[in-house]
Amino acid sequence: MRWATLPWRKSQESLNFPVGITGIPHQLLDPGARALLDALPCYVSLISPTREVLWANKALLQEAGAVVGLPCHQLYRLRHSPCPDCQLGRALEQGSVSLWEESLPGSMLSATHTLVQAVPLVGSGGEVLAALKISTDITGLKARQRQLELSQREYRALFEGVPCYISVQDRDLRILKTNRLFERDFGRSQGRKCYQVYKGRQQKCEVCPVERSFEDGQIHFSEETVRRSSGEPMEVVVYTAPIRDHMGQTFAVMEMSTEISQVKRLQRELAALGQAVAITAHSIKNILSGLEGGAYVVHSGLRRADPALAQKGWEMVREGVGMAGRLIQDILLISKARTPKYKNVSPQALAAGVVSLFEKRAADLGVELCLLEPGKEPEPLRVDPDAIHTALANLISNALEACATFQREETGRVQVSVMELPQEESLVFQVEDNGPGLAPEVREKLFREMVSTKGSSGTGLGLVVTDKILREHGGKVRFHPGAQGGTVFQLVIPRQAEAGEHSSIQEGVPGSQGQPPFKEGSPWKSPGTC
Amino acid sequence: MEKPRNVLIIDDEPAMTTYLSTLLEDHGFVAHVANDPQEGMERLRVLRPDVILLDLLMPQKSGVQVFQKIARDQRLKGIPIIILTGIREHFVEDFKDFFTTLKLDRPFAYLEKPVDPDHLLQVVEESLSTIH
Repeated sequence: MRWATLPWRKSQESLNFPVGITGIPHQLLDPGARALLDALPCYVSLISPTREVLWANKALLQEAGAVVGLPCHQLYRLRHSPCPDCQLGRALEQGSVSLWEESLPGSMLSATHTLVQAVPLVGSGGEVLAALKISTDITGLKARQRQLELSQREYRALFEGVPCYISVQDRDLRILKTNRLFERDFGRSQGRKCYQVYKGRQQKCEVCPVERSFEDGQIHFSEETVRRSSGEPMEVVVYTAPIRDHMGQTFAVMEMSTEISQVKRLQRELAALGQAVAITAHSIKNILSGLEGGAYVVHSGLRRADPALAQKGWEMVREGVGMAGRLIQDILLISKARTPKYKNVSPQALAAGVVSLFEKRAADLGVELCLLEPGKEPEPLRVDPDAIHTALANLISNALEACATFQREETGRVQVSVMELPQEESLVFQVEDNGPGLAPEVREKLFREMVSTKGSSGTGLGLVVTDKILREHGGKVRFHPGAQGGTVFQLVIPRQAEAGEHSSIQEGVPGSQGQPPFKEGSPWKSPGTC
Repeated sequence: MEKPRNVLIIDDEPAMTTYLSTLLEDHGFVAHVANDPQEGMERLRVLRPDVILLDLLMPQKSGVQVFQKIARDQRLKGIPIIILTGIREHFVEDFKDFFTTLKLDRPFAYLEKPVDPDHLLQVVEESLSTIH
């Protein structure tokens, strides 16, 4: 029941203080003072030491009706017993002025929140006669404060929870504020320059979207490659938006970066897939024309009763069928998601097996093929032996081709070695050739496309197959130019296998990888012709 | 008796040379094969064929270099050359510019691999009729 709407009764205007309040300073009793209190836009009551309402101003009477004589707690809180947290004590018992906020969820008043000031009224003997309780309605203020707090919490939750890296920067590209994700991946960055944090360098970027937002007050974006504090690179799309003051002046710019490494990888994979389709179609065309040629030669041999010619044609047909088989195998290896069938194998024995398969081919091509004997037999390795066999065979085949097609005085030579890389907790199969090396444009493409430098004889899928196998093993394929020309390819297989998503191919620089721990002056183990 | 019509095939792929030589022999030509550019130049000088089929992409030496050598050799420059190429058309266009720049006679024709046998025979016949 709300009393606030009850009409104010005329009779209460001429309220007389009861006996016992005679000690109240006379100016309060003065009609002028009462008129002043009546005019105040807040609730004013005079409360006795027994918490009884002795007098109420107009505003209070208007809302609550006949309240004089009621206990304070009933008027303000609709309680039947004194409030356990009664704040009037300081005024009534200690004689000091006090100020507090009072929530009135249930009361005779329309206000739900008030700011209260209690002033003791002291008699001539120094005794507190009553307290003047002045309550100002701050309900609206409280509601706005709550709204503000709520929106601040929401803003904070958004700022912190959004799955993007957010930083606020000043005109000098100094970071003023970052969100949690930013701090997680780039470290505490307040006070540092954007380009130091994102790019790890001392000069600002040539084109900076933050500066552009400062210049024209518009939203800008760019795509960047940045580095986490761990050193890992990532591709991001960056949006920048101005933050303006009340005059409309841009005083800071918010930069929001979203990681798009996955999208970029998919883009590259899609492009590579398109390329693969084109290469596959081209390979099939070559195989078919080879088969057609072979069939023609067989036919011609039979017609001429020339068994030697027919035999030649038949070999061409067989070669075409073999190529088709290899192509299909490569396509299946690339397209199927498969889990490696792990077994413990001796890496050196695995390499020896692959090398021995290529002995005849190497001899036919006039290339020396060697497997280096390690100083210490590597520990058994847990891998899918068939898959690693395929990967190593691809590298050796590439290396032999590279040497065979490169004409120079020196004999073509392919060295295969197995080595431990303790610092990377990995085992490496290395294939080094003294061929022509990889042209820069081919090196570039190795990262993203299928490449064949072998004209019609290569499917262009070999390295893609190798890459996939290594990825399944949580390893990587890396390459760098050889010390004496040619190329060094490495299959790096972690001892603790963990499958990864990224392309496993990495380009290195000469001498950046560990040298094989070969035995000093150890003889070559030579399944080949070395 | 009609004079034998000699065709020299310079290509590093044995399957291709076997096929082309069989095809040409079946159609009344005398086919000669060189599996690398050096052998090709040697056989050219001895044989003086009526037409040359030249692969553009060979690992040892580019077919373009072989072409330049032939085109600059006074004794050989009249022999029509048909270029066989596995590369795409815009590359062929680039090569045309290349010949113009070097002020060399252009090849008689370009045939893209895999070659269509009927088209190849037709082009070879045409090249011979141009000469004779």
